[in-house]
Amino acid sequence: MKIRLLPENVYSLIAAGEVIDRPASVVRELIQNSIDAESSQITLALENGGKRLISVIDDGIGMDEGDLKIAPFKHSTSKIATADDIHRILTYGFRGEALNSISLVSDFEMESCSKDESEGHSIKIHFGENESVEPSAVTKGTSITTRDIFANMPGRLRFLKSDNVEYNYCEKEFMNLAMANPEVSFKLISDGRVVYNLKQGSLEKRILEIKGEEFLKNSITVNYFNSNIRVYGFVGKPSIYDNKRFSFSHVFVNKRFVIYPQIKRAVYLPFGSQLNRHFTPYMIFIEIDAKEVDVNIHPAKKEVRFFREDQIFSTVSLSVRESMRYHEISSENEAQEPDNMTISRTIDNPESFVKDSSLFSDLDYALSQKHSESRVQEYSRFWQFNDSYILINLKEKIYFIDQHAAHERIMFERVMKENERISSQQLLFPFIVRLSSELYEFYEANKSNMEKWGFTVREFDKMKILVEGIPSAITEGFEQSDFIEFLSEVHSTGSSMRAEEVSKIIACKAAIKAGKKLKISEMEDLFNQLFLCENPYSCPHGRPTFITFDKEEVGRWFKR
Amino acid sequence: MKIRVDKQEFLKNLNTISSIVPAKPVVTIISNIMIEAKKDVLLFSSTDFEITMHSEMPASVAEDGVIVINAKTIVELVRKLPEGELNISLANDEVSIKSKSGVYKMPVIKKDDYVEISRIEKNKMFNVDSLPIKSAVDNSVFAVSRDAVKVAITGVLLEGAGKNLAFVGTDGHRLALYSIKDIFEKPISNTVIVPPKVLTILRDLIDEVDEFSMGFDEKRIMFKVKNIEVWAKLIEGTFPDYKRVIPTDNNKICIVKKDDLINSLNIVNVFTNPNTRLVKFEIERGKLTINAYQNQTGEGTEYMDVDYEDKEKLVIGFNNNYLLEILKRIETENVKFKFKGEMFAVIIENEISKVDQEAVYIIMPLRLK
Ligand SMILES: Nc1ncnc2c1ncn2[C@@H]1O[C@H](COP(=O)(O)OP(=O)(O)OP(=O)(O)O)[C@@H](O)[C@H]1O
Ligand SMILES: [Mg+2]
Repeated sequence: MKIRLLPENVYSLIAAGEVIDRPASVVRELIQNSIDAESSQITLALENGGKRLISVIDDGIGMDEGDLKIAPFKHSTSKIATADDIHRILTYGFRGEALNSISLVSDFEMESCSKDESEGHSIKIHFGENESVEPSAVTKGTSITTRDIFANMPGRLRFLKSDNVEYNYCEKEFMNLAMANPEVSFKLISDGRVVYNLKQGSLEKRILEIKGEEFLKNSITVNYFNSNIRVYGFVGKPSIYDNKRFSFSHVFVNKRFVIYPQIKRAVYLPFGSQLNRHFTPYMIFIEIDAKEVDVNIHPAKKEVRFFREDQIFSTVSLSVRESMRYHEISSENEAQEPDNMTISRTIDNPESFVKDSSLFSDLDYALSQKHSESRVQEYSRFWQFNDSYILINLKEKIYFIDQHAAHERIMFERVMKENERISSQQLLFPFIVRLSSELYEFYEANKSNMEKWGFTVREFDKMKILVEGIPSAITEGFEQSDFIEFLSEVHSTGSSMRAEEVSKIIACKAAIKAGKKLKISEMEDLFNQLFLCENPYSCPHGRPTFITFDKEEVGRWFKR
Repeated sequence: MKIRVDKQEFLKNLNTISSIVPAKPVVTIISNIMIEAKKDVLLFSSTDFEITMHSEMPASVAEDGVIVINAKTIVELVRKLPEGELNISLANDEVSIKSKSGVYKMPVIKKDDYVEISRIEKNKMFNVDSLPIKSAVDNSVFAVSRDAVKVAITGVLLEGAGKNLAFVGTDGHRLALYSIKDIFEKPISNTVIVPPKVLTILRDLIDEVDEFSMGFDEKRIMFKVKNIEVWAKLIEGTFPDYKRVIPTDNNKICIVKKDDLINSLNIVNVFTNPNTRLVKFEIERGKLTINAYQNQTGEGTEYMDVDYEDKEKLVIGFNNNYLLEILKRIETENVKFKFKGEMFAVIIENEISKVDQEAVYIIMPLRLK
């Protein structure tokens, strides 16, 4: 490994800002460095909640004397070299900033020995001032100690909370990294007491140690792979609610703990109305090709941006739904096997996903595809009736969805968002339409509006027009007769022709027709999209998009 | 019927042949497959009415015969059996399979109740290299309309002219044309429309072979890959006159780094309207600006250096999904765009074509404000 200074054109691309604001940030940065250094055992020691001392000891690859000297410089890193690298970050670190920031605000000492060296070295930096580099007795890995954080910045120091509170922050950071890295052993010592001693093992075992058996018992395991996105983790069953201890909602992206509350909607969607006060704890790990996610937007890397956010959402929803299906099956056996923790599918080898640069092997992908397909067939709750209605059973309730009305609603809300002008997809094969004299007159009078509505038309001959472009929302075949229908419907709305009315007609044309056979994935998608609408209950013309029956009602049919 | 087979070989054939058996068939009889033993050869057959498949393997046949049996059941059983020999025999409408570890008996269906399946006509077939066909399938099927009123464009047009073969897929908004030179030994002249599913099956079968044979007549396309034969019904209808829409006078050429472009499009995609996926290109000497905008989401703009010499600035809109789908097919480091104007079809190509194969993609723009 060689640590280098990043050139200006690269570091100027990196999200800048405050990296270290309290002891917990030091804990996070140091442990992340240790994990990046491929350690298998990491020990964190704290005194006074980290205010007096934070020390992290690992058994990773270490640094040689040269690297040790340069590591605390600003913008020195071994993890990226070029601007392109920022788009494929597989390590926690990439800015080359953490050690520098830490060494500026603490009494800092770092000892390390790389495996190519016969002896280790240590470097001391006293609040930004290099003191000395000396031989040291370490023989493997790296050990970093920071004392008296912010002693040189009284303003900062005053801002820190009590030892207890600061300790809690530190513990949180420690836990987040421990949960994401079950293949690494972690130890936490606070004021001389061993608080945690987590041995390496499976994710399940790690979660069991951290969140307790009760959480695992009352949650379903998620493990899903689709469109190159892997989702795994645990989601609490609705019954878990009242327990205060389980009020967390953790999201990890490529093992990075992130703040991403938006995902909640996707996690909860499959539960429908089953959740008490709309809450259940979850812990979702998302694994995705590093190219598809931007981690360089927050100085403490606590936020990410996905390039295909829609896909993330739908995959997370799907994964939870899949797991719920499974869970129902295993829960029937619960009575016979009390020890079975209702874990539907075990997670094997989650760690093999992140560090590898070709994130997923083709085989994995193929297997997972096969799996999910057959599962959908066997366990799908989506049925289509008369190729026009979708039936879904969601706990306690049967939903009857009118596919056309539902899709119309979705398209309508989208078309309305296009506002001023509807964009027009030009056609490879334009077509000629012959209009009745009444419609032709109407067309003549509204020539200028045609563009606004998303059409590209030209007069072709008397009473004939050439349609060269149609509203881009319409993806299914649109032909002569559809165009005539469109014109006559707009005509019949009378003189006002408000944008809303026209949008309704376009939405209707763009929507899936009744009588069209849908794939299960299409039904699922339609269902999800519908409930993301502002008003999912009716189509733009006011017809209902779905109706429900609950078990009481069905019971009454059968005179129960 | 009385035969002895090696489990592995037997299973391999079962797997292939059952790949087209539908999970939820309209007519239950086609959830079965047929196995015929004749003179040291086993012939497997299956069909879903649209596609029919045969495969052959050598076996020691003590007594000829035919069984028709549920595909799922037999595949599931054989998969689990120990390696080694299987002895299979038929008596009183019951087939019995003997493995090292046990005996399994299953009812069979009468041969006459199964669908009449004909073999392909080998005299109409030509040998072809599989490599260019693989590329042609990969680069044409994606553009096909999944759901068109015109059935013809739900398939890929295969046009044999002379010794050349072209694949064309379109959905009316974009088009992919993949032409292969000199693939046939003898000149032919035939145009057919093939369901994408058939091409995908073919694509899988030829993945690891260098050569196979194919042929077509008015109603069917056929191919033979090693011991496997497939024939499938064609799509009937008239394919639109695609040659007419391929522009010949698009003189404004723009060369762009493909990966960078894909990246930029992915970024601005965040800001596109999910209905239209509209992205706006502004191209001027040496510079491309890509912009997407949506009321609620905000606005994103990406800048790139490009090779573009035309003096006039060009502003043109596209459906980003279509663009990205096409760019994924580009094999060279740079991609070449050929424009005429804001409202005209655009050509997208590899910067440099292969000698004997050429891919041309056409995309219609979205009209801008
Ligand atoms: N525990 C460790 N073991 C081995 N090398 C380390 C360790 N900690 C830091 N390093 C080396 O020092 C360099 C600088 O670390 P620093 O944390 O400042 O930057 P970074 O991890 O590259 O990026 P970031 O600022 O995003 O964390 C690292 O790139 C790494 O090469
Ligand atoms: Mg770091």
